[in-house]
Amino acid sequence: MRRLPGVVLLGALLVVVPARAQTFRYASTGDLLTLDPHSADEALSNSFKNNIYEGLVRFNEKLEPEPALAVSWKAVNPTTWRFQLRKGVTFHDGTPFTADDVVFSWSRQKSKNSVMASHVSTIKSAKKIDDYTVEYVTEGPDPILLRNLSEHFIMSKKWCEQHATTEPVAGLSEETFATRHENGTGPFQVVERVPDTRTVLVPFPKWWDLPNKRYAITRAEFRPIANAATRLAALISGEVDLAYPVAPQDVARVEGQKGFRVIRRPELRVVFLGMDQWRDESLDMPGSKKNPFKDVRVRRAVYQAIDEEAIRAKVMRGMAAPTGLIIPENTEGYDAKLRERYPYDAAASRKLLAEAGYADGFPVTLDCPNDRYINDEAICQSLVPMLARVGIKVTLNAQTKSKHFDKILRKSNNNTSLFLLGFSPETADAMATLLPVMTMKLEGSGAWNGGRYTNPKVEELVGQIRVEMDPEKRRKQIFEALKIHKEDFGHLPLHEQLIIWGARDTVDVVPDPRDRVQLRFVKMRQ
Amino acid sequence: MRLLLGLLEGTRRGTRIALGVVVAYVLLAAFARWVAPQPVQDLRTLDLMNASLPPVWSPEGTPAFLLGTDEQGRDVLSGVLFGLRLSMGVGFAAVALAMVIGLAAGLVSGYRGGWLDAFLMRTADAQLTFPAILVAMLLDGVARSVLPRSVHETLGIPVVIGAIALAQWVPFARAARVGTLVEREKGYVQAAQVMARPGWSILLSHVLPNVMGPIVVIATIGLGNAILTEATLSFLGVGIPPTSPSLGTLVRTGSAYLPSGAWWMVVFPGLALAGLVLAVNVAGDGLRDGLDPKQRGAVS
Amino acid sequence: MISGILTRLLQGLGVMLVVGLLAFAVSTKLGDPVNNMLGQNATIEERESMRRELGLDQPFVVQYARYLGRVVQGRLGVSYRLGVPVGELLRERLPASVELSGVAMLLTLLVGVPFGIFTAIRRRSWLSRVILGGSLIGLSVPTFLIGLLLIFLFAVQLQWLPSSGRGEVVSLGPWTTGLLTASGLRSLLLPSITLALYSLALLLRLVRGELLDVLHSDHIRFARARGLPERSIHYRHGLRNALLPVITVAALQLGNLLAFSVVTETVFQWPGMGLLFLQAVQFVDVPVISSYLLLAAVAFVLINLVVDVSYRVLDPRVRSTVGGG
Repeated sequence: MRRLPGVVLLGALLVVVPARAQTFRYASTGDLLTLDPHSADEALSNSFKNNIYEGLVRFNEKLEPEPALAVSWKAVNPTTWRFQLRKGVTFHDGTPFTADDVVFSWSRQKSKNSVMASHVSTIKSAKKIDDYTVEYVTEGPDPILLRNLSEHFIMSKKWCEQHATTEPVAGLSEETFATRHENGTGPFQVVERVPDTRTVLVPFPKWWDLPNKRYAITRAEFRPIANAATRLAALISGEVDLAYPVAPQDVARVEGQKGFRVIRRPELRVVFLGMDQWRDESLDMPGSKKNPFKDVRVRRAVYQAIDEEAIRAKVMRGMAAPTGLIIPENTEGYDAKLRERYPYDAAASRKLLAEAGYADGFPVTLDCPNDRYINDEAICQSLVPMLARVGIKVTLNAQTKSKHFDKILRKSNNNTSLFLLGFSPETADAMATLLPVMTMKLEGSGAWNGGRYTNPKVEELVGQIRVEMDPEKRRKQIFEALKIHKEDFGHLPLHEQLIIWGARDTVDVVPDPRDRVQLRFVKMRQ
Repeated sequence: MRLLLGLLEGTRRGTRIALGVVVAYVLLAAFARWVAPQPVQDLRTLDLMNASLPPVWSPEGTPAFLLGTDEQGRDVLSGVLFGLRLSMGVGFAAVALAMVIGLAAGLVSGYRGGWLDAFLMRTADAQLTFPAILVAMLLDGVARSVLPRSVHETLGIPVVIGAIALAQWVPFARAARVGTLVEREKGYVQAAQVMARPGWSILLSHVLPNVMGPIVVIATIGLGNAILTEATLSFLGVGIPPTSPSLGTLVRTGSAYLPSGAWWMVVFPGLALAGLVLAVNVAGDGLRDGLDPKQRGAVS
Repeated sequence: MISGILTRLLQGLGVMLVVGLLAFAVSTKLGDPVNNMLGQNATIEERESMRRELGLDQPFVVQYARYLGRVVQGRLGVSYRLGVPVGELLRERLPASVELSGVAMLLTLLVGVPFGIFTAIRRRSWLSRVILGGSLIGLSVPTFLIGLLLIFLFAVQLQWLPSSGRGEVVSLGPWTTGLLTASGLRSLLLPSITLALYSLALLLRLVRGELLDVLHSDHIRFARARGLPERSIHYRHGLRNALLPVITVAALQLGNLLAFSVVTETVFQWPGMGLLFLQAVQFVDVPVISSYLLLAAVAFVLINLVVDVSYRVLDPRVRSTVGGG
């Protein structure tokens, strides 16, 4: 290191300002759904979990696992792992972290109401060896155990028992104590939570990783602002320092504003349509004894009726990457050979429908969130005329994301015929999509499979992928499963989203490709 | 008919121009289906690639879409025409309904008097306290929660008409009542009573025509209010279901694109709306002047 | 006169009871009453005791009476959407709405009355015609459109003023005010103008109309004949008589402002009670809807009562006419 001239040093000393409050204010479309880490598996809620709770391992900026609450681990045999836990860690309420909490958290995250079960589904048992050692036994060899553990958040056993929340709730319209209160080990703690208005966090002074901290904020305030124009206004007027996402049509405005910038990066998320493939009679065609989506020709017809290029150009203003594959690039198992979309061809679509016996089309309700994905409602609206042109009469049902998820998922018995969803394999491995979205029969599967797509060959393959330790063989199996699903038209992928964050220049932030604001990487410059 | 012509005679040129404008609006709206360049209700004619085009005089504009398109590729001009049809239809229906209710209440109240009169007038007073917006929002909220989705879509328009009518019947009732009270004392009415003609017959054939003058004026002003109220409700999202967009809905969906500079989606529906209400208000103003030359232009 | 006031008082009470009945019906028929009062995270024991307290097995009248009792105590239930007691929500949002309506009312009076007087006194001048034309436009252009256009011009194109929110607010005990900060005042400007425009136009025309009537009345002709100076006629005789009905209408406009604030608050995302009500209707948040209904009824009845009473007190000629307001 070069030696700084004494004058400069002295000058720097004189200029040093006593530490002032550096409040980081940020806003997104919706609000986090719950503070309970096991009750929601939705990106915004998930991004909050990382600030408050931690797992045995965590991801660094490159999305690779590194030690967190565990300091080391060892595979005793292919299905048994021993983890050495970190000493001296406390929860926000002061209670010390021990192996009891790890064992308890596993059974809580695995419980039948937990939406996060898939992340720990391969772990058959968790045993306490001593206060700071835990042993996991997995169903078979698990190549991505560490990755999955980054989404396995540890809660305090004593706290949960004290507040009668030893099990998470199913669905988002019920609550337990953990919904509005938290007690994690993470770098920040919640000091105020007013749903739909404001959530305030401050640094946790006893955080175990404080000496290596990489954040420079003293307070964080999060606000949901559903209206895109209002969110934009809040950013530009200085009410918030970061707003995400910025709607594609407003990007030029932010970039043209002095003192602001737009951060754009491919997100690890694919937006797609799901279809009811299990009911004998469609919800929208009572008395007809028919469910059009059970026929692969109908599914293909809908796919080919969609002009995704127009959606990309006009609705997303170029800020999307059309894809025919349900997992995004940069995911382990992704193969560019499967990315190509089937062509947009309204004539072919009509022909297929006629072949399937729906020459006059059929009615269907499209369920859509209106405050979750970038321009989600606008995408759905643009689908209506496209499908009308091939005879399918769409009734659009757009609502807030909590109601949307409750409707299409297990809580309401998958009460949907056609729905829009955007899914991100948060552990950057194909399994994270294969299990919850594309299977029904395996342990921990189907949590996000709103249409209950299932194919015996895919189920078999996924069972194998789960325990295959050889990376080459595993990739081949993943390729096979994705190929079958694509030819099945199990889901209809549309595009990969982009992360579009609008930020003041005084904010230094590393955007996590899962669209998460990790407060521990946020710095505010004066 | 004679009455209307009589009203017109006493009016200024400005009023007649305004009336002409209103008539022009009505014709445009009535023949929207033939005048509009794009049948926007037929979803099959929409092409997403035409989305967000500016009006024809801008560099990216095209003559196919004179006033530009919205974010779904719908022609703004056509949308405005169909929206006008809907807005005016709802406005007329609401005022007509309010007139019927108000006339019935006012005529009966003035003729019979007594406790019926007192009761109706107290209800009217109490009702005046509640602005139409709140009444309509409440009704919509109730309808939304009680009715299943598909039923709510079909009933959306009648609910809005009913809500606006409910908010506007009072001035009609008051005017009818006052007029009835005056006419009641006149000779020809008493003569008819002596001849034992039934009350309702007297009301309809003798009292009603004499009360119509101020009623027409109130109707014109009420029309302007009704159209504004409907547009406001649609803008808030608690009016007509968005499957058949009225002018208020068009402004609401267009407003999301205002910050990015797409002003035409908001300005043209808004101007059409404002122009219509302005014409109606001026006409109403003028008609009232024509009716009573001593009155000056206070609109209320 | 006392009997008149008493009648009005009773009428007001009657309206309140009827509206209360409506609110009660809404809250029981549209929602689950236990959920309304406790929110959705209550335990079984809490639900049982609430069920007993609500007396859900009791006859209708008893339930209604109990409901009124709770309302008077301020127990208005728990919002479905936010899980927060409704009373708390209303208290939090009240300052925003009151400040907005207050400033709008101020604008209405400070601009509407003088302009109305001016256009009455100087009927022929071109400025009068311009003002009158403007007032007609103010009555015809919908509030939301004015708001949007103001946002477009001043916030998007010129970037002089903020397009939404209250700016920085200062907490003074239970109240939060935007009047003490620069950003707060700037944020108030566009919404209050938007809200005031309609009432302003109306008041202007009304003042003008009343003043014109009075100026041509016999009373004034007589004063003129006596040789009093014009200005004295205008101000002392004309104005005083004209202002009477104007005051009452101005007060009534306050009620209108409260209603139209829903629209303005939506356009500017102003965190007041109007926006709260709209969101409640969209989400079918029954406890908030029925509480807002009650609150609005109280406000309107009070306003009307005050107006009516003052009218009777100030103008003895009115006492004989029935059905004022």
